[in-house]
Amino acid sequence: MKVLEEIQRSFREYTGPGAGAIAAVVLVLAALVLAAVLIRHYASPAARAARRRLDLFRSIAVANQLSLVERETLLRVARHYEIEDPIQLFVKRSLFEAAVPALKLDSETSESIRKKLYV
Amino acid sequence: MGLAETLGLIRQLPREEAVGYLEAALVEPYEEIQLAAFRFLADQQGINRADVVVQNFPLLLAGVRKRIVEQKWYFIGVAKEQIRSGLERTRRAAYDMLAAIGEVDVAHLLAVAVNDASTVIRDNAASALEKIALRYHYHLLNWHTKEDEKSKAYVESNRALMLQALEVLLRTFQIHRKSLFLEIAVEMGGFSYRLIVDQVLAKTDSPLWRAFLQCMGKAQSDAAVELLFKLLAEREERIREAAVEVMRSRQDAAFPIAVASWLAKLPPDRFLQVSTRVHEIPWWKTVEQNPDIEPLVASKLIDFVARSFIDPRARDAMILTLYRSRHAEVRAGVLLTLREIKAPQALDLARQALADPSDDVRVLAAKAIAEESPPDKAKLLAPLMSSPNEELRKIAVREVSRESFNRYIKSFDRLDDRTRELAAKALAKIDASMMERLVDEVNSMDPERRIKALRIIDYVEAGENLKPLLMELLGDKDTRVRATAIKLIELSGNVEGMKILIGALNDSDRRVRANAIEAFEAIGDERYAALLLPFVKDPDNRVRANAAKALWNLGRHEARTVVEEMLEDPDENMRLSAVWTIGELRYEGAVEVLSSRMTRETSEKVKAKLTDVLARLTVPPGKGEA
Repeated sequence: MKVLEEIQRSFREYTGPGAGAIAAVVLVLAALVLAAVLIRHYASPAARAARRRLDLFRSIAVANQLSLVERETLLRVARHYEIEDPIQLFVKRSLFEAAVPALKLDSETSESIRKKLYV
Repeated sequence: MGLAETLGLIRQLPREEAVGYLEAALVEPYEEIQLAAFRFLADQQGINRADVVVQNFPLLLAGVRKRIVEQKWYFIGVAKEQIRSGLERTRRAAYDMLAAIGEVDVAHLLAVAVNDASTVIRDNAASALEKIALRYHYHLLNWHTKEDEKSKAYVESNRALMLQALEVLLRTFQIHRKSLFLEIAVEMGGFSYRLIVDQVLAKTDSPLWRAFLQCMGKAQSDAAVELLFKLLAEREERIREAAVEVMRSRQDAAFPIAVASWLAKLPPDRFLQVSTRVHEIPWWKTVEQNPDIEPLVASKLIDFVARSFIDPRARDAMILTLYRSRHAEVRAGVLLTLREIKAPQALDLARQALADPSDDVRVLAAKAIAEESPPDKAKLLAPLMSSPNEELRKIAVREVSRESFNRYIKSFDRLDDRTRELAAKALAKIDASMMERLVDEVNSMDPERRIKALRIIDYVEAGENLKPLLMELLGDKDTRVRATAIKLIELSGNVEGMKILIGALNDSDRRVRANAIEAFEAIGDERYAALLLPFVKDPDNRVRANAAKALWNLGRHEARTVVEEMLEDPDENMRLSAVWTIGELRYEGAVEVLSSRMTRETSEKVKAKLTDVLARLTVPPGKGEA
């Protein structure tokens, strides 16, 4: 927003009061372009897949009665190992076990995750 | 909650996406996670992606592997497809899985891997096959040696697959060089015979050929021996050569034992078939070097060689080598066999064996000499007449006396009657089996010998003992034999004999008639006198005289009239017989009758007889008679 105000101010200084209408048009156009970019971004297969994975992550987490802390722990592990698909962690216990010492995960939370997911 | 819940949700994803997660789970080093993923992947009604399981086989833990073996037919099918895929990693995983199944069911698939482009796959497959083969080999031996029923069932149910695998394995022998497969082929006997002939022995001196010869060079089982003899009987020289080469190489003491053990199990007709096909025994040197082999083994080998088609001289020499055995049974076997096959050395060996330390062998040797009856038989056996061994002693006594008997018979005609009688009685005393010999002689085809025997029977007074035999002689073709037999037989109370005797009274031969009459006299039953009455008119002087004598002795005193009429007969012989009969009857007034005739007699022969009889009659009985 700061950037937009800067553009408006410099534009005003440069064009003077008569150019207000033009500026409005430009702004609308810019907004449209931005909207198109955003729509394209969220509607792409990759985006959809990512959302589906996230949904599935949530579903599995719910099905396994993971607490928010436990979910966050798993996502932290995913981020640590740069795993794009955190669902992998529901089946890849070896990653989780490697992360326990690496990330100094809370032992209580870790044990709870083991019991809920890997048995 | 847990893995099942998680994977259940994943399962709902598009198939390929779900398989990705399941594969990730499958390769986790945690058995429970692998098992959970396996259940979904191997679900033939669901995801059905066993190929993923096969591809990741090297990473699978024991629990999952166990499940694979439980569903082996499903996974073997999948592995077959994976093997065809062309990717080394995939093929290797598939072969690893087959190796883990490790049963004969997969041997033919693994056999193909022995020829794979990948060295690792080749080596792994060969090792896996070796393990499978070892198990099969174990069961084969267990069945053959211990007749274990479970092993038999295992071998039989897997035989076809094993043969299928062997076909490839023997073809690829140059790659793996594992002789175990050859050993199995050998142990499989007839089932793998074509494989051995067509593949193993296809090319002389190939590595496989050499390996086979090496394998046979130490094999001792019945199957190996059977195979060897089967190859030896083949028409193709190349095959026979292989068998002969193996046999030549067998210098170990175990081989003759193995052969004998196999031969002992053969039925008689098969044993004969095998033996008679043998033209050479290249391994006999081993037997010669170990003559002390067990008697059972030795006897089977002796039997085998005796029936073989080997040159007789070489064959006999081979058998003879076993006479060096320290086992008396073996030495006895050699002696018996050489005699059976009529080996020229048999008699010499029997002579040598008379000095054998074993009584059994000496007895056999004595029997052999007795049967062969060499000229020096009595000389050889005489020393054994005092042997402490009863059987030996008996043989020696019997044979020496037989020899004496034979000599006696041979010189019979040259001896005078008294010497014959004395010699016969002396022989009867020392030879308990003289009766048997007399029976043999009586049964001889030569009538002269029969007559001699009958005379000896008379000398030794054995007529009563040999009555049944002599009865048969009453019907002998030879009249002299019939006449002599009648004389010897005591016929009273014997209906058959009486019938024959009555028949003999009408015999065309006067000697038979005369002897028949004498026999009736000997019976001493006056009821038979009527039978003899017609013979007092017989044209033969001897018959008439005997009839008169018999009638007198049977109490018919009219016989006196008969003889006195004979004394007046114009026939000189008739008068001679009358003189003899009166001398025998010694009735009262006999001297007067003869003296009266003396005054009228013109024949010098009759006069001489009258003088002789009168001299005897005037001497009191018991004095002056021999």
